[in-house]
Amino acid sequence: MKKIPFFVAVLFFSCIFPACDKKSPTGNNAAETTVTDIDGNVYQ
Amino acid sequence: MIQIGNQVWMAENLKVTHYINGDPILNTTSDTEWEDINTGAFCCYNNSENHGSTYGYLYNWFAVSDSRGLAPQGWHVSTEDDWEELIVYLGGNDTAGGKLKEAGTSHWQSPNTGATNESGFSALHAGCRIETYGLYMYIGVGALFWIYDDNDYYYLNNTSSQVRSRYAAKNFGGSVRCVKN
Repeated sequence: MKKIPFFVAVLFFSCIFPACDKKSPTGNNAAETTVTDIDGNVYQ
Repeated sequence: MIQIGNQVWMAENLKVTHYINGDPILNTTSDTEWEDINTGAFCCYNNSENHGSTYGYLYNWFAVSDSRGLAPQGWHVSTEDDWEELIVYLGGNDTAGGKLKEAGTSHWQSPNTGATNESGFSALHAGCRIETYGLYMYIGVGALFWIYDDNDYYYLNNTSSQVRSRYAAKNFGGSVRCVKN
């Protein structure tokens, strides 16, 4: 069985699974961090 | 947290039990106490902590506007200007509500008209506690968010895609969303 060259495999998977940039359909970005209140509750 | 236009909003409702200086906020389970109160207080819908942990707590406006502060450092309780900027960015009062509501009917009651959550705001139907008899109302059908500036709130419901504002008594109980400074 022939081995698939590494760069071909990378190209294949990058086409199938494009990088997720967390953009919503309106183009809004999910913020990168969380915030914690004085009680220790963590908010998304 | 979610960036919407130039704003960063929390993607869930506040559930803090202390002001920023560490003073506790009164947790009022008594209906009569809620009706008569004229100081800051919060509650969980139907006095159920399960509701509170999912939908956040309901605060009266005395707590929302208290100078000791509810919002974490670097954040503030949303203002009228924050909401108006948000609504304009999302296309106006008639459609913005749908873009703010969690989609589907796993939480919101049917028909949850126009709900797409395109903004990522993920508004849930947390309901409210009215000043009259301290009654809990509108779980499943309404989301009501206090603003800091004045005792008005912005509300969404399950039968329209609108977002509107309305005056309320200061001992009305509503949800709170914070915006990054």
